[in-house]
Amino acid sequence: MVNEQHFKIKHFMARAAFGQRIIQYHANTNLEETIKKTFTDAKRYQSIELISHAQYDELRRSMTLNGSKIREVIKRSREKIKSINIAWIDQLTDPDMALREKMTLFWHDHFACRSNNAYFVQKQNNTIRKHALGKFGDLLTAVSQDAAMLQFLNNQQNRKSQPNENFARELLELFTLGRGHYTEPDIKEAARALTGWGFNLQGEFVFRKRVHDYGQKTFLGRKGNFDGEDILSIILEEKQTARFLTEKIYQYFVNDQIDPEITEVLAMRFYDSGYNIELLLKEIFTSAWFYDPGNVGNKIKSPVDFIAGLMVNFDLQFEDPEAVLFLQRAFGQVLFYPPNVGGWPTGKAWIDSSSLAFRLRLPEFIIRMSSFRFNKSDEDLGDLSNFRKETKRLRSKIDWKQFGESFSGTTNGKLISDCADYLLNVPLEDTNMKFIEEYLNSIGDAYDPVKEVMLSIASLPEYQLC
Amino acid sequence: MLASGSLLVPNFLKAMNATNSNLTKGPNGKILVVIQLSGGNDGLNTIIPYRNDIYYRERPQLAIEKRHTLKATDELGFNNSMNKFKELFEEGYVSIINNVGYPNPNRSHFRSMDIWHTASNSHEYLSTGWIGRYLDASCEGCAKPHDAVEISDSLSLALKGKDVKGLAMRSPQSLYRSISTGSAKDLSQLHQDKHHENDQLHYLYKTLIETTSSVDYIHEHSKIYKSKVPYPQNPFARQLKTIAEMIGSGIDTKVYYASLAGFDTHIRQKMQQERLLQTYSDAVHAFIKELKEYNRFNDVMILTFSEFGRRVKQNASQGTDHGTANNLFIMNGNLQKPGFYNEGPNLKNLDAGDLIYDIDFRCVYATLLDKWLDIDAKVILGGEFEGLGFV
Repeated sequence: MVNEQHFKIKHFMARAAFGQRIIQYHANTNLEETIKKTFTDAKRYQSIELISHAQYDELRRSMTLNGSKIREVIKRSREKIKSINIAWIDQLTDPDMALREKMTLFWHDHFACRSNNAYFVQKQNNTIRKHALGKFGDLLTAVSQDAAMLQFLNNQQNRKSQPNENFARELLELFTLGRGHYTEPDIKEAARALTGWGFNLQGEFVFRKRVHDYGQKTFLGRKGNFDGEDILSIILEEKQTARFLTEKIYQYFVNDQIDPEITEVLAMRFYDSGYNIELLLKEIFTSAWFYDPGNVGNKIKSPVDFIAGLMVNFDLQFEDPEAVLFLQRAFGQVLFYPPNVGGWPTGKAWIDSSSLAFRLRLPEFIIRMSSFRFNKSDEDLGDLSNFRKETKRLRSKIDWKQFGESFSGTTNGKLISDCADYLLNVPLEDTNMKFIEEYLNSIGDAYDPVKEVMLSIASLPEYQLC
Repeated sequence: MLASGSLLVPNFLKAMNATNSNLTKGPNGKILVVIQLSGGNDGLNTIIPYRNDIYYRERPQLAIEKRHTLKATDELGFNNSMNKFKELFEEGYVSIINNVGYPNPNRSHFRSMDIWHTASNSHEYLSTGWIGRYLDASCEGCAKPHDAVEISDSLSLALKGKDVKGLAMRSPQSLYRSISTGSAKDLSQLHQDKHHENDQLHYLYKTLIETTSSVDYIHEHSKIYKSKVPYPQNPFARQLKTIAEMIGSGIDTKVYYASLAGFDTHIRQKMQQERLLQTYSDAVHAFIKELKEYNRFNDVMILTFSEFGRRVKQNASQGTDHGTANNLFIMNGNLQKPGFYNEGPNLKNLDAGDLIYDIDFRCVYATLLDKWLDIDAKVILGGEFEGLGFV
């Protein structure tokens, strides 16, 4: 009989990571220790280093050559971004990196940004990773002085003679205070203070004195000859910044619906701690309310959650590493290509008829492709005819032996409930239990029951929840 | 072996079945077809101001010579690849609205497309689309996914509402196969009469049940009519052919969505754009021919738009860069104001080299919502936008 701890660990791992690998599922037996290990693991981090500064330099120099070459350069850069994407998925699904990587994903969505420049993309991703669990002020400063962000939100063009408000606006609206907690004049004044913040050809932050507006500004009720750093400090002095961030973090890790009593307490402690992100997360994961039934299994996985979750749960390796890119595209969430500066949608927005149909079929594609007994013609996969070529990419390796050892139950019923416990964050209803049992009876002995049951469970709407 | 659950059919399914049974009598509703030209079509080389000196001065290599334009008025002519479009125009089936845009235009493809899809302000980020919100508002919980169908693999933001989302499919057959070969269909039958306490799980099953029902419905009815008109052999024409067959079969979809991509012509624009414009006009011509043949063109309003136009001045690579305001096309068998709805762009009065918009695109949406789809546009657009006189 599985105990209460077990369910709590499952919930914690569903939220702080992308679920558990089978080996973790067996090893994690004590909640306190699991949390402790997760936070200890998160102290270390690994940067992604796929494009060197020298390579970037070469890329940059060729950019100045002539018009027709630019396309080629951008193409090569995009290829590099693909590799960075694949490397990041690797880290996201690495059990020892889970929490920091998940938080890096949160901030990547929060500071949503696009760039065609692979070096800038890599640099920003590493910057976010470095500060993901540190002090928010450090993260905010680093991102505000990051080449990709300065480029994306046009602060490079923000000059005293011709202020560009784009960065200042998103800074207040999306990154810190949230709509309704500043005025239009605040945006204008912040933009003035941020004039001169730019980057050089090396992708380093530079303060260009000549285009900075040294005059007096009035920002959020304060007066002074503010520069960009002053603006960030003033924003952090506002308790609203702590509230805005805490609510968003709460929605990401706990529940789409905010509990204002809880988030207010969390926000004020976050504020008092000097915006210590790690402490805030620890407080969330060690609170009793985090494990309330109402907070369990009630979040719809984003496409990246879903893809990473499948890889973790089935311990699977795609033969073609680009499979993860295809899946991100198919589900509409491609890392490094957020739809806009507001980031990706959440929850129900991910689920429509076609995306749900594809999600429910995907485990079957992957698992059938992994089977050496697989001998269906491509035509049988024709229901996703447009993806026919792409489905070949989904060939993967799954070590079924380890699952066989884990779940070889005495009865079909036991096997189904054990697999459901491993894969689902909500209980398996009797209806679905019977449905899978009937299916198992109908296929006879020719099939591996563990594989068939895991496939059936991963193809349920319940598997879309974490 | 499976419970049918027919005793406790939820309301939204009852509503769906009711509509289904009406269908055999043939629908009388109005239909909107949206065609998206992705990438930012160069409106100035689509509708050419062939007597404008500034146009020829700013585009020394790229301007279309006067003798190569298909003249529509004394000032404006069509790109010479659009002879089929010109035929439609001369029949009075086209209304061209010039200088459509929005305040503080954004030159990023994805952001500007978002703005067109969500009908938001330039600085506003919405997670629902204008057609999706139409579904949300159209009949208080009884809207069905197939009320809005996009012929595509995945659903565009435009068709995503908060509670109801449209249906994306390559063809009625492809989605039917996808739903009927896995366990999805069985699961939706098993869960038809169930209420799930978990709100998100309830939403997942609701979506699954509605999808299965919509897909079954479309699949059942889509065989009624087979196209009788020859279409060009390309994916875009196939999208329109699929739509024509669905309309001809009496399927009660209210909004269809199709798209043609490749208009981002920074380099060597001429050939590429001409090929695309020809693809567009030939396919639309065949589509309208079919609608006329089965006598539904008066019930079908076609809107064609692109996320932005391009800069007036050509660039150094025989192409054009991202611009702002653009023309858009409305087509229907019974237009109130065929021809040019308003004057062509004023090339003397530019904003840093870009066209200045006269008509907010949300006025076009408001007109379609209020006068065509018969719904209060204010609710959908979150503000008052003046209706136009093309309907």
